[in-house]
Amino acid sequence: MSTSRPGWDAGVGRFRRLALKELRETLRDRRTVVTLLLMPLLVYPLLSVIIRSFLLTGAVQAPTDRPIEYRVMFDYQGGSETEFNIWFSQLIEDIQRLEAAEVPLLRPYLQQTQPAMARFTENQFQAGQDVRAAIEHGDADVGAVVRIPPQANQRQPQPVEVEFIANQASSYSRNGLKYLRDYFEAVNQSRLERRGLWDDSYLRISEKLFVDKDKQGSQALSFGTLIPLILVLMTITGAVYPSIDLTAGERERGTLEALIAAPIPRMQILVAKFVAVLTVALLTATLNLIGMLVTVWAFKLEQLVFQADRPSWVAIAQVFGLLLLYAAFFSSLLLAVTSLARSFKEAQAYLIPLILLALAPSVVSLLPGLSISGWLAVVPMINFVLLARDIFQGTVAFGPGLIVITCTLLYSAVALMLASRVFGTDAILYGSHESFKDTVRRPASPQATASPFLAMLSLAFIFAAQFVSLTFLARLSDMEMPLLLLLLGGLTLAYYGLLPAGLAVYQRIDWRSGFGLQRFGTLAGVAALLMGVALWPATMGIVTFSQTVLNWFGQTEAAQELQQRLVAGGAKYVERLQTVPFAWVWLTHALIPAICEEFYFRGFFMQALLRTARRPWKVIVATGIVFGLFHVLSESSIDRLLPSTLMGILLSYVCWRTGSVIPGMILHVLHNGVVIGLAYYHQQIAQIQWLGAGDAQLPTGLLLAVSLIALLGFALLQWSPRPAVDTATRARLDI
Amino acid sequence: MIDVEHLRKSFQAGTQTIRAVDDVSFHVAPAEVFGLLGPNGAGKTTTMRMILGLLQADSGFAAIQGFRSDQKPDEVKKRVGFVSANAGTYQWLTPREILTFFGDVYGLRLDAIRQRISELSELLGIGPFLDQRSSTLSTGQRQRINLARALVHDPPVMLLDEPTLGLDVIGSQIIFDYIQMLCARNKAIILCTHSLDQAQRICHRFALLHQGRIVHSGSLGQLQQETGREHLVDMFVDLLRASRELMPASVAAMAGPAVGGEGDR
Repeated sequence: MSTSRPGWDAGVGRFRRLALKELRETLRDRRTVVTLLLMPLLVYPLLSVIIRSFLLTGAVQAPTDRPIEYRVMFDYQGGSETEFNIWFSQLIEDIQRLEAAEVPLLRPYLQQTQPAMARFTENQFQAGQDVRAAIEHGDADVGAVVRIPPQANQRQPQPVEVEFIANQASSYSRNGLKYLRDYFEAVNQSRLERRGLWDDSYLRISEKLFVDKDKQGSQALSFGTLIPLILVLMTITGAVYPSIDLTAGERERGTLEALIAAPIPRMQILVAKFVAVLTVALLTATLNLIGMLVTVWAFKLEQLVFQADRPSWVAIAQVFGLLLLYAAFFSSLLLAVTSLARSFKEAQAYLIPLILLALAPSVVSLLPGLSISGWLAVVPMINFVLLARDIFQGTVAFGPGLIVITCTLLYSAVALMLASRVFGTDAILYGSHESFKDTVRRPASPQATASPFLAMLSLAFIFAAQFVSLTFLARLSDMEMPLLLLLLGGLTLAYYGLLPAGLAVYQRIDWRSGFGLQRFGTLAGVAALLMGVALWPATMGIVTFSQTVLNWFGQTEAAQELQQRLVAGGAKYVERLQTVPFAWVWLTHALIPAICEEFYFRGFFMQALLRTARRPWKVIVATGIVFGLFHVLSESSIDRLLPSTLMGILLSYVCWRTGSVIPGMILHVLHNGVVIGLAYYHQQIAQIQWLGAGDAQLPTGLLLAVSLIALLGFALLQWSPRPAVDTATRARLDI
Repeated sequence: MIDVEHLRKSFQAGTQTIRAVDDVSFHVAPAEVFGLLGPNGAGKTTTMRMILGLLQADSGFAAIQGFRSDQKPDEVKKRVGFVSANAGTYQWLTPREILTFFGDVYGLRLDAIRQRISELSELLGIGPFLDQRSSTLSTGQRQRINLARALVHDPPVMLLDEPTLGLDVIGSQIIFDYIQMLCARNKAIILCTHSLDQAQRICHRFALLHQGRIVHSGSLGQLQQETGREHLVDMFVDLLRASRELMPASVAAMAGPAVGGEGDR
């Protein structure tokens, strides 16, 4: 056909037009536009009215005839009681003068909350009393610690420091702090005007908010979590209609068959639909985010939502990124579910339980005082809401953030793959119920490998389950070490050994081709052996390097604290390991993990991906990255990312190059054994100064020799003959 | 042009296995209209879907210009225009947008698509409503858009599954006239229809399907000779009577004149 475009398969432009057509069809539908525009326009103002008029009557302080009282407790440090009394009476005098003059100096906030007053608690003048405890016990609303500088031998007068203390969880306490701060600043201002110079009467003011978890628990709702929850629910709402319309709706209208009858891959059609749904979800998310920000700004709810005077743009960008991720996850999930339906009604019937399922964890996330840990970090919705809350309130931590993101990415991939299995299948198009069951049904004939879908599903399951188990184990840190090691080994065996083995039996997956349990050449075996014993300096070097890089990037106090904690924790763990015989440590840290991880990652997972991959290097790198991420999770340490990923890539390459998972197992067992041995016997090694004295660098000779051995190993691997095609297996499995 | 060899397809319905298509074979040449006829549930639609590669056959195969639909489905799809019984249109798009989109999907250049749309609007008389939103079109107009959509890439083969479903007499007549016109343009056409009079008028050869099997096949003359009946309608009635004789009397009475009712397979 002369009218055809050149490069039929170069479908990027066509894909773009396919997605545009889906999007055009969706956006012309007024029902989409209603959800998109009207909802944010209505929901947020309505919500803010409810917050203001109903939930926060006590906290927002609507003007009343009665003055609001803040009970302020004072503590003083540094000076004598007499010094404090003099300072305090001057302060009261100034305040009274300000109040009598009706103070133009007072800031808008103070004017807004007028009439208000501070009543000082009775035992205000004691030095060293615990102001924070008084606030926690409800004896005071806000505290002030006054630090009086020693006046003797002082050439330059030093200002008095006043630190206000308030309970972050209580808006009453926070408002009291604002009130006091504004008053004190007004005092500063008036003193400056009277004397014309900064002198020792100037007050240096600082603030400290503490989080009182018990008090936070007494709050019925936490608005920091309510807003992200509404944001994510609205985003889902935006995606619901287009996902039904573009799948079940299209089938019902009879246009899907015409599309399937065209020479385009089903996956491309599905991904175009995914892009359209995702775009609508993102538009909804954007409009909702804007609606929320405008409402927060208009109704002055910044303190409630962000716990700050104004939202941070970085935080908003981060939350938007998180919404993008969630929009992707829900778009693929919705497409998977609606692809199952044959009509609009059926799709709606399927979605109601899904939405309810999504709401249940969301309600849990509203409970105050929750933090992202344990199972909360891997349950969709809860983890999003908690992470978004932490981002908004500036208390987000890197580790939990990474886990939430990784989990959600994995879930999205699984959902999209499920959608691709279901979308446009005979069962859905032509009414037979059988095909969907095929995705979970036991196949009639033997399979060469697991399906990529099953591989992703198992990966997501292991990721979540392992995280929950490890968190659970961390709580049992007082457990006897042998028992702890036994449990750790058992978990590894269960997740990476028994689970894939069970799946293989059920899915009739061939052990040899499905797990790469193939024969391998002698050269390959020697290569693995050499690399196994000689790669440890490289690993140590990469760990040091990634720690250095992380230190460059993470010069924050929190990052340094985390780093110190990790180092200390690592040292403590090694000490505990030394209470157990080395054989036991070797079994649980080298043999079992190495064999099982290779069995799963390079066997079950990688073989499944290699089945359909056109470019093996992509699978090799992807398997390496997944391996690295899992190690970050299991060690709770980000410095494991680079070394474990690189090791994962190497192991994947070894498996692909040799055609067998066994050389990788040899390499992995030896490498782990050497590394754990060096840690276990580090005192003895230090004594004989085999690796050089103390923390100094390794001796050059040793380093050179070991590097040569590793290089020789790699060279042997390259020289080893390429894997022969296992004709018996291929013939048996008809591939 | 179209070769169908021993196609078989079964569906599972609960614990029962239904043979939707059972050893169906036929061939269609260019400039030939082949009538695939039979009562509801005879297996016509399933056969069409297998020819196009939308359904996998249990055994046997179908090929278009030498490309097997189970091996090269995209090559087959490129060569086929398909109008199914329940084909709809994108309600929020105009016919011009729909045709442009499908032209693009079939790999045509934009200028070629424009030219093709003007040809088709002349051929099928769709010009007046090309830029109207599809939701505002009548059933007949929509069916013509579907025909145009199936023709946008000028395929050598047309598979028409009940293209006149839901149309009145005039609407049906227009579609049948177009089919004859397409045949004159050297296209190989398979037509499934319940309008037996029209089929008798425009089809060159027939296959009468019943419960998944071809009961009679050949030209009208051959069929008349084989069955001893003048008209396709009478041949059909005989077929239905035969299947009613197999039913219990009470069920046959309830079933009324038509057999099946499970929808097309």
